Amino acid sequence: MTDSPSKRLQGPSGGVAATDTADDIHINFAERLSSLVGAAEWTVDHDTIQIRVSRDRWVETLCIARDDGALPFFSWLSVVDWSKEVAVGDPVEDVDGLEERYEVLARVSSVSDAMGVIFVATVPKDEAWIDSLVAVFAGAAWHEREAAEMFGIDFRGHPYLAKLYLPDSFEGYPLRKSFALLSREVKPWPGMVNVEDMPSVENVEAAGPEASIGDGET
Amino acid sequence: MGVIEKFGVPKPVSWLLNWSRKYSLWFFQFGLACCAIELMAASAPRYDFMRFGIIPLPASPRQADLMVVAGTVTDKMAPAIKRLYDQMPEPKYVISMGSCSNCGGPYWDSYSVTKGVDQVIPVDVYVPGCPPRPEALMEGIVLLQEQITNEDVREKWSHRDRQPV
Repeated sequence: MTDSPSKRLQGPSGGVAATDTADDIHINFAERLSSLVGAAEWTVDHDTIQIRVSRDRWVETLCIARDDGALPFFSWLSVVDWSKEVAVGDPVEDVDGLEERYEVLARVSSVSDAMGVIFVATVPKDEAWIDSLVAVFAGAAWHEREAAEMFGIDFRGHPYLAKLYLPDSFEGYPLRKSFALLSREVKPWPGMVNVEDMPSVENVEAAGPEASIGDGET
Repeated sequence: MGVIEKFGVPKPVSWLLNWSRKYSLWFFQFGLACCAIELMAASAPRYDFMRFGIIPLPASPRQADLMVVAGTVTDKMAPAIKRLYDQMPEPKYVISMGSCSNCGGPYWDSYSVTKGVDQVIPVDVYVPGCPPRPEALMEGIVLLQEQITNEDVREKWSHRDRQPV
C-alpha cells in the first residue's frame, strides 16, 4: 500500500496519505487516532488505514483504540513474513532494500460505521515474540494460535497457545517463507499447463453461433 | 461362517448373496469439500442414486456398507477417516471421489493435505474429476456393483486385514 507511486501528502503528525486515493474523512480519522495512541507513522490508501506501532506498546495501543478510539470490534490478526530467502515461489525482487522482519497486523473496526484501522507492529526475526491481545480482545485467542502455528511467533501471555489447525505432531511453520514444500523438492511445480484460452468475444464469434450454446449444458 | 470358510459358497448362493448386497448399499458419506455438493446432487431427485440401491445417511458408520470419501483429506482429518472406516462392518467398500481424495489433486504440494485417501484406507473405486459430476459418481457406483457381482464371498469375508497402499 505504501509503495504505490501516487502523490503523497505529508500529514502534520508524520503520516502518509495517497492524495488521489484517500479522502479527508479517512485522513482525519487516521491523524486523530494515531495521535491518540501516540504513533507517528500512518498511511491511508482508499479506506485502508494502517498505523504503525512499536512492539512494546502493542497491547496498550489496541486497548486505547478499543476504549477511546471507538473501534470495539476485533476483525482479525495476521502476520507477514518479510524475508529475503524464499523457499517456494518467485524470489524477492528488491533483496537489498528489504529489511527482514515479521509484521504482526491486527484490524479493529467500528460497529456503527465502516471505519477500521490496521495496526502494524514489527517483530525482529531472531526474537519472534509479541504480547498477546487476549486480555484486550478475547476473540484474538484463535487468531494468535493460528499465527503462532503458521509463523512461529510467540504470543506472550496467551492462555493456551496450542496448535489450532495443524496436527499436534506437525513440525515447522508452514507459512514462513523459508518453509520448503516436500512435494516440490521431489517434483517442481509444473506451472500453468493445459490451460485453454479464456473464451473471448472474438473466439465465440469466429466459431459461429453453435459454439456459444450448449457447451456445458449437455 | 465356519462352513463358508471351509467349503466355500455354492455358486447360486454366492450369486444371490452378491446380488442382494449390491442393491442394498448403505452409504456413509464423508463429505469434506466441494465434492460433497456433487454427492448431494447425486442423491437428490434429479440424479437419484437410490434407484441403484444406494441408501443414504445411515445413523452411524456401524450400519454402513459403503463409504464415499468426497473431498480434500487433510492430515488432521485422516485419523478420523481411519477410525470411522474401522467402525464399519465387513464387507465394506470405499469410493474415493474427486482428485483431492484420489491423490491430493490441486493440493498435491500442500503441507497439510494427505496425498490420497488410499494412504489411510483401502479404496475400491476411484472417481476422477474436480469435482466429478453426479454422472461420474454413478458410474463409479455401477463399477463397484459390478465388482461386487463377481466377488467370491469366501475370499471377501476372509480378507479382513486389507491394507491401504
